[in-house]
Amino acid sequence: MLFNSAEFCLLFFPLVTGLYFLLPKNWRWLLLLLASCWFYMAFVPLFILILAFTIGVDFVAGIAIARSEGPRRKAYLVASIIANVGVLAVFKYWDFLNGNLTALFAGMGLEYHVPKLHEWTFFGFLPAGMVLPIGLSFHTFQSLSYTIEVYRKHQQAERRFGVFALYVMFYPQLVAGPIERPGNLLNQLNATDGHGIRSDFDHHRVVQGLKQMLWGFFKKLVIADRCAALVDIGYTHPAAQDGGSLLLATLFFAFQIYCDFSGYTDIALGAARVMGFNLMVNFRTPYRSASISEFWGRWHISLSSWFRDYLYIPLGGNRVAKWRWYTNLFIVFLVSGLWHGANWTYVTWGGLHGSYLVLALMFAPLWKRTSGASGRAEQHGFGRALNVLATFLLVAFAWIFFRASHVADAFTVIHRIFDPSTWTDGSWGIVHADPPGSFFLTVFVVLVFVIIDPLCDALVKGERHLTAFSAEVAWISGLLLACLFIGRHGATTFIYFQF
Amino acid sequence: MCAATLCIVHSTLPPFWGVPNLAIKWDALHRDPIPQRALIGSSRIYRQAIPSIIDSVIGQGRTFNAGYAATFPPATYEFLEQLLREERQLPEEILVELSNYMLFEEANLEDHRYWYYLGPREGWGLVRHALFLPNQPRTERLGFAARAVRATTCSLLGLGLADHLLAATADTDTLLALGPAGDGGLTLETLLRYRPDDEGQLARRATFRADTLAAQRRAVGLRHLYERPSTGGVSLVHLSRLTALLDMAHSRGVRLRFVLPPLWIDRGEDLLALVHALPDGAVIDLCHPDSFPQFYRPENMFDAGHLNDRGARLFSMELARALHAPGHNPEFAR
Repeated sequence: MLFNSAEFCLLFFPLVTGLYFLLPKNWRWLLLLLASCWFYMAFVPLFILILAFTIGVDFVAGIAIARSEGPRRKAYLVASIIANVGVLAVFKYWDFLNGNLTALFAGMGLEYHVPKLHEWTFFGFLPAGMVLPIGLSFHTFQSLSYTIEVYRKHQQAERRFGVFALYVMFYPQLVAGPIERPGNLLNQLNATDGHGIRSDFDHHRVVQGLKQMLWGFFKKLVIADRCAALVDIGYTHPAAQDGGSLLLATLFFAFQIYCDFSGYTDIALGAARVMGFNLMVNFRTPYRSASISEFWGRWHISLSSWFRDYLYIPLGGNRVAKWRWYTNLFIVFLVSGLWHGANWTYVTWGGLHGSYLVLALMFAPLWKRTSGASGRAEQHGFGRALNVLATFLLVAFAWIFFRASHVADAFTVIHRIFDPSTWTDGSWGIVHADPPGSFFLTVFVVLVFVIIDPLCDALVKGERHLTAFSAEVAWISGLLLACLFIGRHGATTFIYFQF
Repeated sequence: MCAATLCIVHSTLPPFWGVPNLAIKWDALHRDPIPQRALIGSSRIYRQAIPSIIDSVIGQGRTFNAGYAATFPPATYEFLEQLLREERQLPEEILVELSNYMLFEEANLEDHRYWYYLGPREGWGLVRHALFLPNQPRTERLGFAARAVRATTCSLLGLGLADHLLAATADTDTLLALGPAGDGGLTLETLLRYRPDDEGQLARRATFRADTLAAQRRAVGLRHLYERPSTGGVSLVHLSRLTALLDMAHSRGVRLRFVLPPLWIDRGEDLLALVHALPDGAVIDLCHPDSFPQFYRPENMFDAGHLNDRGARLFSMELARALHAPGHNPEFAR
């Protein structure tokens, strides 16, 4: 079920939220669990079995880890990791691995044939040509974080299966995060007042939650989906497009992916907030970052912090020799790329970001020496603006690989953008997208978004407040009307669902 | 504030903004001199009724063809009702194509031209019509009603209005709307002379030419419909809407008649039940394949659902004769 569908907005969300507050507190977890199952099964019902497997394994592993000491403790953790990564390996990476092995063997003149995943039907239980279970990487990582935290003794093992299942399946963040930690979400689910989940109806919190949802819908419907139509023109057959169209499509994609993903996150955070749950903040206006490392502190924070805590630090982090540090960083970003999708485009995207960071670290001393006393100026004013622009362009460049269907397509895009002769051999198709004038309308809304994003982001997070009631009404009405009039209402899926 | 804005936006939108060529026809219909006869309907009026031929057969007055492609009830009824509400001189005679209420398939919901005009009253009428539709299983009726609610909601909330307005502006084509003679008629063959690369029309014509027996099949199907008495009853919602329109026209001194054009009767059983339920003389039936076999001959057809130039001339003459018939009682409309 998509957040931007009539089914969710008019039926699921009001019904579940209404029942949540009407039910006795000790039944609320069950309602949320059933609602989450319904939500997930609205996509492909059978895939809930995969989720059930992950939940079952990690629930048992958590208790077993908590009860044991020494090598057995570690063995249970390893078993949990193998089970989770195994699920990912089968459902997400099997075809990727298979395809690469086939190519490798073919290169050596050997024959290799193992059926692709979509050819499997599991004795008729699954439809042929099945797709990747939605949000697999998200809930697998969330579940994994639980067993790791129990192993590290930062978290007590959950004894109630239903509550643990709800921790993994909590519908607002089930399919595209934020990737929660047990210390945050599981503890909130366990925070009872003796009768059940503690949250009472709080008018202020409900209004704040709804506002955050509205901001999320604005980002998705008005910015992301409008940009998507233009991006698709550029990237469907990049070789047939002129360089200018591809450059514009790439810039639009930067906004599409940000608004699509952070829009989803805002709707998720808002929906959870209405019911009294605080989920992790996942974005902090990332395109205002003045460096790549700052960008990663503001973009998909729940994933970056997951990799930091469970991969980067265990690898040694920065408390090792310099070359190891750089290697650790690079590995983390390669894995992060692979986490997004089983395609060399994502690996290249991750590698590119890893390279940016490593190069920035390598040249940092030189940079400090040359900038000298102007160091302060870099953080403010024109210097910072230049850094923000440079960071945005580097990030946008990397997005080319993220969006392209194949690495070869990405190189076609790059070649055509940087080869001025291609700028005149097309018809600037993106500017003439249907309906005529929609390109300029999209440019306009993107520019407006760039201006209002910091303020609106702070408003929905409660970091700033509008003092005048009329300003509040104007802000909400403006967003609502923009969603209605300028938004695209085809209920398009969210990009990060595929991960 | 949102509600107020929505009201303001709706009130500022020009009439029939969602189908700009229909809006052009609306404006042309108001231009002096006001025509004596106006025709309203879908492509079966727009492509088949040639005003100059009707005028020459009748020998007096001017006819304007306000039909347009894919314009079905309740859009046609809305057009007529708005016209009848105008505090100004009206055509003396109005002919409206009789066809079924357009019911919403999923595909209709994608295109605003099918629902842009829906307000609470039209929407509610559609829902009631869908719920009490004769000859349809309950699940179908519920599905139609649900989609009618969705379509009305989309219209009232102005979903995607900006893009729809942009698309509407780009679609405007006066020649296409009013035809070469400026009287609103444009046969399909004339259209192809202006737009020789119209792939949709070319494909439909090619499909028909590859299987001209389709004409015969259609005639047989329609004959069967006429011979088989309707068992499912009539849509009372539709019937009451038509009688209300007849009353409204009568009160404005306008002679209103409904026309059943040839070749195409979608959900024909319902439509023929309606023909029988309407007052005598309120319907001009030019559809019966035994009375009008010329409309079912391949040489007079453009595609399986429309007449070509020659067929349109024949249809226009028959329509004019029916209007000019000595037995025609202008007071049929109660």
